[in-house]
Amino acid sequence: MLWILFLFIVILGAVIAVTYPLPAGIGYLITLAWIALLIYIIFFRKDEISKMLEG
Amino acid sequence: MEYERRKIPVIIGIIPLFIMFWLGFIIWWSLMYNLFFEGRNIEGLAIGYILPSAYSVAAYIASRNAGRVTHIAHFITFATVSLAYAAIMVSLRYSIPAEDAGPFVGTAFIAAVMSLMQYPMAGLQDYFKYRTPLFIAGVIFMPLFIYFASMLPSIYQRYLGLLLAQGLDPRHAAHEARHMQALEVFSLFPIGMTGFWASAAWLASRRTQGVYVPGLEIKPFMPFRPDLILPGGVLFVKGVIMMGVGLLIAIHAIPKMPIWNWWGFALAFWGIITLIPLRGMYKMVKGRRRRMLGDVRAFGYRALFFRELMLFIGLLILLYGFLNAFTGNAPFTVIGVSPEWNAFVQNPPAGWLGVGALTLAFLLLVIVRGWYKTRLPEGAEKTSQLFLKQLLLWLGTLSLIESYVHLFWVPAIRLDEENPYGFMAFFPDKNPIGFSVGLALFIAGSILILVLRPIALRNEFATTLSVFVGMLADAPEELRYKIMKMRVAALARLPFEQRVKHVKGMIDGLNALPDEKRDHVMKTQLLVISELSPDDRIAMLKAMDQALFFAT
Repeated sequence: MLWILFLFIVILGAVIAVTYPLPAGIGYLITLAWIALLIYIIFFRKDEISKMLEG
Repeated sequence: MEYERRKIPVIIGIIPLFIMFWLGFIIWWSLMYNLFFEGRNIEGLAIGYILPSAYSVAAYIASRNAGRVTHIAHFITFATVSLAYAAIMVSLRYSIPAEDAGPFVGTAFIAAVMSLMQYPMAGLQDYFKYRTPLFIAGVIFMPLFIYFASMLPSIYQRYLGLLLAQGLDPRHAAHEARHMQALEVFSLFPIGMTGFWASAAWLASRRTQGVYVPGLEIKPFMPFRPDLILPGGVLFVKGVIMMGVGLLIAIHAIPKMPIWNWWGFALAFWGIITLIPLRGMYKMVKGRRRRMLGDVRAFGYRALFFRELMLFIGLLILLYGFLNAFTGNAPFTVIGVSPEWNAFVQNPPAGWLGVGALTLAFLLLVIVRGWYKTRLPEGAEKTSQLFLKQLLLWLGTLSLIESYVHLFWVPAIRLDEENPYGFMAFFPDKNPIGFSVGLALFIAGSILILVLRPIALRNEFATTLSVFVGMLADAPEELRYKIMKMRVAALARLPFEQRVKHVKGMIDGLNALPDEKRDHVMKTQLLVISELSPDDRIAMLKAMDQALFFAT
């Protein structure tokens, strides 16, 4: 279910790229890439405890 | 007690709520913009405050009454007030004053946050137990920035239009319009900031946090509980905004107030997302949950380094976004890009001062603060330790703001703005009103960070401990035993005072549970304690004694 966050980021990136004047939109896209990285680390990268709890 | 489980997927159920908030915010913004543009400032101010106030009052009254419909009374209030605003717009023949997609993107972001945080994920029956009225009020007052987004640019545009119509050249007209706008908004801006400040301040209250309610876990032992993250985060973010904008107003030698650009907010939003929900979840999942279960790797400097790095990068995004928003620029197009906004082109010593302040901010926020946190007993910090932690945060943030002021050569430090130094300075004699208003905002923001945030963090942690017990009660028996064993082993290794605080939090959580669930946890707890080594068992029993019979 949480994968939907990535979908949201991709859609948003596309919206920004269309609505915001490039190349300045690249700044936004880098920011969104940072957010995507954080989402991956927090929700998908497993440590020992989450492996134990989530299997 | 029979809990109502959600029947439709959250992602589907949340969409109507999102649309309602989005349309409501666009109407709210448009109506205020038009009213301020026409000089109907009192009406604009009233429209600004009525929506979040009515919503908060409705949530409070509904929380005192049983029934499913009353539990959505605040949502109904929002829709009703928005419709009334739309009717006023139609009757006055106002239109949506958007020049590009910026306002729609910005309001969509904030609507997404509003709907996600207030959606009844665990059903309506116990809604106000996990989303308390005070929390709801704190959340709905966050979009009060829309008041600034309408008031600041509309009054500027009103004067600009008049001056251009008189035949002034555009540059001169823009300069004059900023002065005239400043004189008019010197009272309107702080009035809006009062609600902005108060709605953060009350989040420090213990009543912001709810109790454990099942059905909020997005993963095992990972509940969706914004009330355990938001108060400290909002106090920090609003504190930073008020410090930053206060300083920007205070350092002008001539009266000057901010304007607005929605794209600036659209970027700052991701700084807020980094600082509040993402850093908060990281703290909960990668830090607190692991430490509570005794994972030694979660105690070290490395674990804290990344968290503080998130803070630093989040602040970089937030401040750059709001600097653009409040100076009326689209990010990545002017500030730092155009030579006019680059200190290394205009005045290299100011640029180097900015680099020095940026380095100092990194050292304070990431290196020193990260190290200091490893020395603190989580949940049992002394007030002085909590204050010092916030002081480092405040100093680092201030240093970062100062670095932006110099690096980006903001107008206040330019010679043509009557600053003879080319560096950040104060001019209380030349610009007493700007200095006073700016200083007041700066102090108000500092109070949020230095005084109220430590209280909010303490409350968040206490509730986290008690919610953990609730999740234990609802876990399958085998998992409960495993987790409890890890938890008790971790507790036995803590220093005595810290152990007592943690046990006290767990007892509070136990007392909030229904009898049957409490018995489940107690049974497992007794079993686990009986299996401890004699020394650990004595340590645990002493801590339980202390937590039960003495005030801690």
